Amino acid sequence: MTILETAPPLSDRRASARQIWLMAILLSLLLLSALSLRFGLRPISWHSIWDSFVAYDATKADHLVIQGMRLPRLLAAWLAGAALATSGALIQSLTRNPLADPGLLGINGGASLGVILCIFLLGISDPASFVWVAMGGGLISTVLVFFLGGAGRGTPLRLILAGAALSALFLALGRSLLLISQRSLDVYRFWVLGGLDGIEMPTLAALLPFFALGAALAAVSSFNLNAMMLGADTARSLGLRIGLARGLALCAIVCLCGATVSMAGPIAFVGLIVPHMARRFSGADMRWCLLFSTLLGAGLMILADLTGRLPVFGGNMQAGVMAALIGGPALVWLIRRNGSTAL
Amino acid sequence: MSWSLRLPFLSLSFSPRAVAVGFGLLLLVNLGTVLALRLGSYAFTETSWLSVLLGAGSEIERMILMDHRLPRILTALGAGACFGLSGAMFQTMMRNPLASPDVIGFNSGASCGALIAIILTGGNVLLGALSGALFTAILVVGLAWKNGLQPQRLVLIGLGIGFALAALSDLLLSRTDARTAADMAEWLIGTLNARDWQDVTIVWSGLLLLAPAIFWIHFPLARLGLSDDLSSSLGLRLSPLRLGLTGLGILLAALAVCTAGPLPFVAFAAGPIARALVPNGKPALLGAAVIGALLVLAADTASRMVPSIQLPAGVFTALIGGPVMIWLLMVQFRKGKL
Amino acid sequence: MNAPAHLHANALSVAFAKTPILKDLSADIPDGKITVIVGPNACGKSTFLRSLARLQKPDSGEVLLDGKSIHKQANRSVAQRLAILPQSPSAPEGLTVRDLVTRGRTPHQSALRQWSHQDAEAVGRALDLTGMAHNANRPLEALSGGQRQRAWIAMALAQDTQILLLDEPTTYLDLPHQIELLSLIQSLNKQSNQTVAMVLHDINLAARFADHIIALRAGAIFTTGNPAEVVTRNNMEQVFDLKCQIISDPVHGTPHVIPE
Repeated sequence: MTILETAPPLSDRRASARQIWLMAILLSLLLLSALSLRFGLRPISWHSIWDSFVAYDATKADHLVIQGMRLPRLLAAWLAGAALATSGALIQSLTRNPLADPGLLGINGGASLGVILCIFLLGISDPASFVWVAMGGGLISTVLVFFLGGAGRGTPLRLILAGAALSALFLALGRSLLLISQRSLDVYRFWVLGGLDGIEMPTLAALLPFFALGAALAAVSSFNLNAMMLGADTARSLGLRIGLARGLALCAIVCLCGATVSMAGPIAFVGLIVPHMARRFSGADMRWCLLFSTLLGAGLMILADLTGRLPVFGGNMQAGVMAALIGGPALVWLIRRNGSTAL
Repeated sequence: MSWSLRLPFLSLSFSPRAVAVGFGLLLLVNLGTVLALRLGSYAFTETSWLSVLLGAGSEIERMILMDHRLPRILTALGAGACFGLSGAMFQTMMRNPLASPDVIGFNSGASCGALIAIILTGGNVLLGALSGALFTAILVVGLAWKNGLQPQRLVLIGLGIGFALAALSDLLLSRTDARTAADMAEWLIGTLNARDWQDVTIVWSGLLLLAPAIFWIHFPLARLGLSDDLSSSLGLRLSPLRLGLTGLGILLAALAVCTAGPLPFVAFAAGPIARALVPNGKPALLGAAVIGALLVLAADTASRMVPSIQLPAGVFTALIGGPVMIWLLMVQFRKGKL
Repeated sequence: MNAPAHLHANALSVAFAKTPILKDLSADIPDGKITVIVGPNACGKSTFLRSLARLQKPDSGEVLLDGKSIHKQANRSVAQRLAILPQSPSAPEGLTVRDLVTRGRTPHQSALRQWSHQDAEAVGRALDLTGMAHNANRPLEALSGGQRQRAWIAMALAQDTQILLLDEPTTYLDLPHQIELLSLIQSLNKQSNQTVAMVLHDINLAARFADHIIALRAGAIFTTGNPAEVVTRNNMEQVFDLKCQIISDPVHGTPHVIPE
């Protein structure tokens, strides 16, 4: 496949450094996951954790906590972080703009507006039904952004301006409804601040197909985007159908981000920042960039969720906020150390 | 086509279209100001506002006009101009439409400072916002400086710091009692409620003081749109220039944020709207300033028009600016641009 | 009209990520002549030209403009004496040709003096010389590749400097336009005695238009001299690894390379 060969070959040293980083990040991800199961308001021994997997006993409180709360929460953090970071890398490459964020496609704005409208007009207040409303809102607004942004034929600038204008509009609409209706605000606040709290296995299972489809589309897109990084003309001459490739990448983003926002509410930062961290380890190749983004995004979310449980932060700080608090300085440090890379 | 102005100490050239658009926008500002003076929970007739302004009318009417509406309108205009200028400067310097101070998080320094001030002193938002912005600016530039100031590094470090500060604001918000939190939340959306002449003095004297610097920097800024190699070979010193632009842009954003709160979307939208009106590849600082002023004025007037609900102006900036921008995008697309 | 200016490179060394690009390179750019830098791909031609134009800071050694290190002089004062057109320059969208050419006047302008009579004259002259006057009000992106290249050259001409550096000015041009552009540069050089140094791919064009050729190989000077001295069978084989015959161009009398 010719597209594969367009990625510049790395020197052996660089490539092996990349593999070492990959192993290190994977190991710390496992360690973090284990810690995330172990610690919280009620520390649980390694032994009980193990037992809860191999010999589940519904009468033991420890087992209930692990299987009913911590494990779904850990999985949600994994999925949310990985999905956001992956779609961030996709949108930045797609718009060729290092400041693009998956929220730019209007997914967060549309999902929030959908949930608010649902509370405001229909009086629904059951968080479980918000999942599908948020998904639908995000989908509709992304379709709007896509067509306003030139339906795959416009310049990246147009997509960016259209997306930013529409998401700002949706967020403002939602916000004004909230200010009008106190009841909506009370319900909405619970949803938007919910973060990774109270996510249960059935919700995860229902959203899993979207994450899986998104991941598959992202993997396909990584090949296309590698070619598109060389410019639209070169990509076309490599036999790529630009409109289709852009559409696929957008679908991947919608699946991943839509599922995330409907599960955990809008989370800023991870999608915008983690790809920049990933590029420090991966180089310019989109396939590696996506892989590192996925792992680093998951790691950051788990770490954020874990630190959010520390008593210093009141025992239950939103993972999104903690991610920014931890990730911001980390980004600064990485950039000062390695210099910034162009997209 | 261009017109030239040549005086012994000054020579400039203008394009007629820019001049025409400029006059049109100024006319709009005047019309908008008059409308904003008249409209509200107490409406003035077509002529009465003028006589009240000139000293006639009852005490109440004078109070409404002179102590409430006029300072509020002037603050809105000044803050909007600051937002527009700051946004256009950053966008042109970084050659990136997303690099406006509200998107890359330079505003969150001011917000965070204001919140800390509310917690510590209960009031004095102004001083807090200003020192927060300056502290952030020094931190970001200090961290980004490494053999000169490279735009991409500046933006990314700004993002990192900005997001961390925004998270800190959230943390503060969740740690305080409900009443202070409500105060803070309203301030965070951006409102021009209860502005007095002190705010007017601050934002306009700040603008006036910075005006010579803005005029001076407009000249090299117009050349930064060329690639680095070119602008450097034309005799520009990039790093000092970028440092000056960053400082100026952050000062302007801080002025706007501390008088009007972190109104969303204005700094981002003003530049692209102005450039769409005069598409000649120049930064259009003046146009962005006027568009910003118009946007904030319209948002504030709209928020006064529905007094029973008390929506803050920050909700309306995007409600008004968003459709304007979308409309311009459609027009440009029909013309085959973009 | 132009202040005299002289360019000299003294023991330049440049490395990217520890890979040396230029190694202890010294060269003199003769005043009022056309100097062409040739060499195989990746021999450091562009880096050399960018160093001469102070866009690349050397790791050691220095470039002397009028006897003083170019990096120690005010950037603006250098820009009044030396112009460079880098490879693949970029301009903001919507900029017209006239606005672009006007940007070339930057080192002669200031915030208060943005459009003097001299500026208007220099811009008009540059547009006329490059034959772009009738395209002056069109936006750059509406032009063909060749016209765009002329607009960029016009911008460098409007800068009105004694020294003009060009990095592969004939890219994107077909043969007639290449000849036209190089003839234009040649006539400018003859009229105003401007010093020109440029990087060219095509050794035959270099031989035809150059007064002086600098041949680089692996970051060092292989040989310098007039075209007849440099373009020889032996040199071509050693610089480019190219086996060839050299004939005398029947029209211009300059050496002409026929690859075997």
